[in-house]
Amino acid sequence: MIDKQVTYAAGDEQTAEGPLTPLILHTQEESSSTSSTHICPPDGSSDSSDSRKIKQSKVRFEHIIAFAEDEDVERSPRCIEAGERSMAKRALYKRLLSNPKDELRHFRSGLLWLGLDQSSPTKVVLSWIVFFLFTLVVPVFNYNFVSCSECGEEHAHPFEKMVQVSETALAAVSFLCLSNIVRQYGLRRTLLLDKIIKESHDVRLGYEQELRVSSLSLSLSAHAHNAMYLSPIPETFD
Amino acid sequence: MICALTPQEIWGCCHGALQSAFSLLAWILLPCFVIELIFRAWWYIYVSISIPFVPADSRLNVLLCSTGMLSWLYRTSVFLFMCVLFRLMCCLQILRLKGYKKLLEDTPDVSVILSEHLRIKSQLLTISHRFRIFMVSSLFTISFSQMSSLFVILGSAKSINFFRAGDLAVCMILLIFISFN
Repeated sequence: MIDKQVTYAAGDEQTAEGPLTPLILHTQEESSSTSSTHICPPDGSSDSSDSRKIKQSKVRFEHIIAFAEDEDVERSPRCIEAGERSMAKRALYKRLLSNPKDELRHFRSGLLWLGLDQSSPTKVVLSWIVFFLFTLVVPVFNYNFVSCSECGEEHAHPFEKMVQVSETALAAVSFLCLSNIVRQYGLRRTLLLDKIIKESHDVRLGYEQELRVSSLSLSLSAHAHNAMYLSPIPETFD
Repeated sequence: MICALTPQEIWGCCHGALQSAFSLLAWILLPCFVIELIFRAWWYIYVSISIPFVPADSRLNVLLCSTGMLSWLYRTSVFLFMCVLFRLMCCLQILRLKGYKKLLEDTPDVSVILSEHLRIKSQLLTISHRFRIFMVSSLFTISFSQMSSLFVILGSAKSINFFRAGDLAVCMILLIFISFN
């Protein structure tokens, strides 16, 4: 009966940068004031610390707030399992929080070198300046002031204007779309990384019984890694 | 998708994909850059630069050549970056679909399969929604530029060599490579 009363407060409303909320174990309201005393942490010995005394006092008010880092407290098996889950959740949160500095660092530096990083207003202005400079000013300047009067027919550049126009148009299309996407959704959501985290969290909580495909892991990840390179996209998934 | 893969695997794949996206960009960009550099250098040896109020100088040629190369590099990188980004997201979806296939083999529960199907579908819809404008407009731009270059080439088909049409060749190589990719 107590097993059904264990709920996870940090379960649903996690966002990409969600705060680290403690694991809250509710016991049953009012009715289980006596039976709930053997839940996490169990009614302990007399030499307990102050925090434990606080928790025992909260047990009397039918509420236990168990933080995940309280490892020194003895636990019943159910509480140990809950603690493991909360540790796994905490690992997920840690990875979530450290993302902008670690996993996306190369990506962001590449964006910065391309002048496409638009994470702050200064960088937005800078990227627009770079865009106008390299896409409009330099080609127009080069086209107008570079001439080859003594070049013969062999050395003339008949396709210069067309090539410049098409490259500029392509770059403008790409830049406008990319800046629109990044400004609207952010880099992480653009790459769908937030959904990956969320789904993996769901996997942790709900679909643990489905996770027994460990033998597949190496071949799949290796294949996916190969697929990132020049191999064509496979069409058959049947 | 993810139901059949652990989060660590997915995350490792993401990490590798993010890293390899830029290496892919570099590998496409490098040969084209070499060709374009040879072409530009050859062209700027011959040309004379006539800017008003600025005396002609051979250093101006070098300056204009380098800015022209930088401009080319920037424009090409922006376009290729967008393509690589799209490819990266498609690769992640391929990973999901492979996991989904595995899920179909293992799972007897229909509701799980259906929910995974809905999830993959919504993600594909998201990708398609975000990249739709880019795909359509770049399709029109590329088609238009290729058609116009075809007409220009047909008009002056008698003398095509590297010096005359090197930039066109690089542009076409890039575009066609992208469309095959």
